[in-house]
Amino acid sequence: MKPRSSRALPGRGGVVPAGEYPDSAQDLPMAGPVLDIKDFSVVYRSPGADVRAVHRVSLALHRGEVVGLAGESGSGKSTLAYGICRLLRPPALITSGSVTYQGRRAGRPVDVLHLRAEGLQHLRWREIAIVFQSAMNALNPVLNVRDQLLDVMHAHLKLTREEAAEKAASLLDLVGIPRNRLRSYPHELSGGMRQRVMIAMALATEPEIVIMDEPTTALDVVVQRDILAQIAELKESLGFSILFITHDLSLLLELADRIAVMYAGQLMELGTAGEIQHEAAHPYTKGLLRSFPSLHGQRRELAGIPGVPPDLSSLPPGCPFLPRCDFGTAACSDIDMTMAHVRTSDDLTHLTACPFVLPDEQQPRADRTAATQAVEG
Amino acid sequence: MTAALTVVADPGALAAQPQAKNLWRRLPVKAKVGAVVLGLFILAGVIGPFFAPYDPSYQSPSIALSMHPPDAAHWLGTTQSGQDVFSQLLTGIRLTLGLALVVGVIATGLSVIVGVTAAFLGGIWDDFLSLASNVFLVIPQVPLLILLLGYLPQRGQGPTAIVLAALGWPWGARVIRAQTLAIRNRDFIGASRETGEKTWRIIAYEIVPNEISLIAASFVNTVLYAIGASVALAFIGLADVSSWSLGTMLYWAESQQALQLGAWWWFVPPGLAVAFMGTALVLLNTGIDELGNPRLRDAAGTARVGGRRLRPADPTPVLQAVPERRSPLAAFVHSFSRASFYERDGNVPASAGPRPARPGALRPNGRQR
Amino acid sequence: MTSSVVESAAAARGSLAMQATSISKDFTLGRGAVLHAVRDVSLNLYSGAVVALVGESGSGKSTVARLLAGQERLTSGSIELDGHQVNVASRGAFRSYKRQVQMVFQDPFGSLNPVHKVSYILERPVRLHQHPAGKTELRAELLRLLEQVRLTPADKFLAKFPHELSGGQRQRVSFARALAAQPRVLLADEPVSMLDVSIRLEMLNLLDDLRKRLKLALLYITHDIASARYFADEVLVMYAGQVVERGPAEELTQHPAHPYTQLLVASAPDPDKLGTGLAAGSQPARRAESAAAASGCPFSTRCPLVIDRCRQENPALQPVSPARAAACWRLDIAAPETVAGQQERRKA
Repeated sequence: MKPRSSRALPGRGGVVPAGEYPDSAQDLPMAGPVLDIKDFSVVYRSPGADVRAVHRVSLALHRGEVVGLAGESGSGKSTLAYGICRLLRPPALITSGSVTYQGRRAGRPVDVLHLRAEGLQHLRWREIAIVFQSAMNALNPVLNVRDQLLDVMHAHLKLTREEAAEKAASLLDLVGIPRNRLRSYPHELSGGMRQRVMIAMALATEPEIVIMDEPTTALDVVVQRDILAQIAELKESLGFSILFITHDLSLLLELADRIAVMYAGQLMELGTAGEIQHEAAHPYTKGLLRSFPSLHGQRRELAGIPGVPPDLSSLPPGCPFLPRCDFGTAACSDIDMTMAHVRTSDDLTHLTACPFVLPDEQQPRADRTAATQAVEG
Repeated sequence: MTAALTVVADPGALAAQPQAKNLWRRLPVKAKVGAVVLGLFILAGVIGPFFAPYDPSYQSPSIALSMHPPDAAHWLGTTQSGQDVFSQLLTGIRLTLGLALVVGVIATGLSVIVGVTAAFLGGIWDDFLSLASNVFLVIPQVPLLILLLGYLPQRGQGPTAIVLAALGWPWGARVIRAQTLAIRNRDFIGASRETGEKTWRIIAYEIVPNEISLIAASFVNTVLYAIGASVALAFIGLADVSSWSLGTMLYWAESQQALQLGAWWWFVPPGLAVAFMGTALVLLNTGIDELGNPRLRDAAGTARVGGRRLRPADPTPVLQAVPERRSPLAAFVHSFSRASFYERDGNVPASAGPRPARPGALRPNGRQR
Repeated sequence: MTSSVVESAAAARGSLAMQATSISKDFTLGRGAVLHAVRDVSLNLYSGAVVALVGESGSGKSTVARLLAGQERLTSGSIELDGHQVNVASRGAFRSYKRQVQMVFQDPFGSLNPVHKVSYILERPVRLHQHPAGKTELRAELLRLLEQVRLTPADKFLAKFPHELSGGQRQRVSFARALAAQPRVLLADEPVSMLDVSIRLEMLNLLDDLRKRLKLALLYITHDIASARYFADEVLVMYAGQVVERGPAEELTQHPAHPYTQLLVASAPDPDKLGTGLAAGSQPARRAESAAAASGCPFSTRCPLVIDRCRQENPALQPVSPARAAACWRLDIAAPETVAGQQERRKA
């Protein structure tokens, strides 16, 4: 088991020794995050009301770090990821915040929200690449693997034909697909292979950041594990940062360095994987942790979270989780949802939106016990 | 913006309203225009003949009223034989539109029956019905129409409607078949089989209601086709020329050399009426299409931000704090545009370009109380 | 053949409700190619018990559900309900079979017709299967159904369209629709996999509660073996159309015997392995994506323990303990303790 070289903690000036990065001329150690999202909000304008998809999210991604973005459907995790690349289409509208990118190839910090279309074009793929959930939809069905890879390289890199062809082949090596698959078409590949091709395409331009939007959700667990292992390996050797979006918190606990938990478009908790698992400070995180059955170890008591996520077009003030919260008080409808340091934690970067210190032991509500027993019985 | 984010105690209560009430509001502008224009024509067709100032067939004996240009007595002038063009127009709209609607109903009915049956039953039924509609599609329609109507023993509205309907269904049938094939594999069809529903009931209650917008579009299309075809047939004399339709008006105008004699008031009104009806139907049709398929709206690039058309590939717009200045009139006109959609509380989105925004100066959402 | 070999762990819960014996389903793919979607699967469902069918996509688990539901014809084998051979050839027979056996679909967004209100969706099965006397009786039954799946206040939900409901609420309506026929057997095809994590557990609890109250025989089909551990009495693991291992849920998931089950269990996300990352040696990599073998053991292309015999002969399920069976030639290597235990029991 390799020691984790990449566990960089924000705010402590943790500079990660980046692995070999073939393209970078000057390997300047740079403090500060690769991607700094501050106070970022996105709404979807519709005639009746605004749908507040992402609300005032601040999040930093450090070099070589894997940040997991966990949330259920409608929590705004994908909107956030696409919004920072400005890939959302109207009626989406970014209403506040700033996104700063600071890569090794860029001389100075780039303000993403003020980039022109051409600048954004360069930023996407070249600096920030995205791996989509559905590889079948993202790949061109009439081009073979080689042509798709060449397409990407042609658009973003200045390479000769021979160099590009050689690079396409080596990219396949990288993601563990035999070279004889270069001439295959997407429909001839299995789901896992297609996802690997997507990853190869994302890595073709040696980006600093790879955003992965549920890259393994459609795959079977065995294949999923293989691909995640591959991703982790590639990250170690190439030194890019990953923003990993998934609804599966248990997956993130294994994979990510830090985890951001989102609910109703807002950040609920942000901490290292260990902190999220063992010292979860937000009731929603605690609820999520108690929601998935585990295969290993003792049978745990499972509870789930009763209720339904709120309607984003008519959010009540205060904490959006209040209607489903076990610990909710009248004060919760009045709090300002700013992220604050978890008082019980030594780590100053463990943040939560819940201003209360929760009791260690779960106190099941009366109406909850019946449900818990049902699973046990 | 705080006003937009009304607090509703019971979120379930909110969701129930929008659908029906907003149907009109959700309609694209072109569909609204089309519906209004078509509505005017239908109104003219229904009540027009009662308001017609003269009997359209009445031939004025006065020589002075032959080919008389429009005046107060005859709003659209008179024909060669002294008939009132305005009265003819009002009567003609009724006949043409009525015929087209009848054809639309029959042909759309046929295409629904054929399309849905073919797709749902599949196998040999599908092969046979698809073959039939393809055969009808490739037959050259206009010669066949002329041939059929030319040899029919009697001329009149009935035979014309039947012939037009018989030739007008295959296109709709194909489209509906394709849609049914897609719906057939949805889980809710399997679920109603699980319930133990009969096949006809699944078709009538589960599949067809899901195709309403498609059927409506197909109906509008067929009506459009029927108007064009019936006017064209009447124009070349393959109709009962003693009755008044827009087509027969044009037929008489042409045969009595209205064009050569410069009697524009004779042929322009029916011509314009046909053109407007056609335009209205096309607008309605594309509007319905867009309603059912929002991607068309995006593809059309109708979204405007900060006075600039947004193409689908453009980056997400970013809100900026400075409102654009407009005169009251311009502001009123602007409030109808799609761009106004983005502007609330005086905030105008920056165009995709690098206009300086002042993040931090904005607190647009309902967080502050 | 298998059901006679081992006693199902679910049998203790109640009486035998449904018995499928050696059912198979082939699909003709055109050009003479045949896909053996389900091969020789036997399973028993008991009243008040949950049997889980676990497998990856394409393993044939959903086809098993459709076969049991009578939505597909069997290629071979037989299905018995309460000891009577199932025959769904005529519409009348099919409808009365539906009164006993109902299926719940995976996708709550696809399984409710968007044009109908909840009241209509529930009214149809009630009218068809319960023949209510009048409007008031019908309405009372609809309200009872909604309350049964804990959609309260029930009268408010009756007037709603599916798009006004959340995923969890939709799936509850699906359950209510299935229950409207008052079935004894419920086939749930991935009932929670499309739902949010925080909702899943509630839905499983609801299903479990319904099973207990209505004495339902439940077939729970899933790709998530961890949920099967918590929810099911017996687990059957399917691979390429065959059952490769079966046994009591806890025992099977904690001590898997078949190499495929072992791989499945090892691959499931494990939060306790936190920080170890996934980087550490991805040994079985690449092989994960090889297709199932056409001859011999279907898992032989991916199996780390493969020998020549595996490529030639397809192993049958053989007992490894009183309630467990696995189909593997190399069980002595794959699961030495389990097999040793079985031998000792035999001697005794």
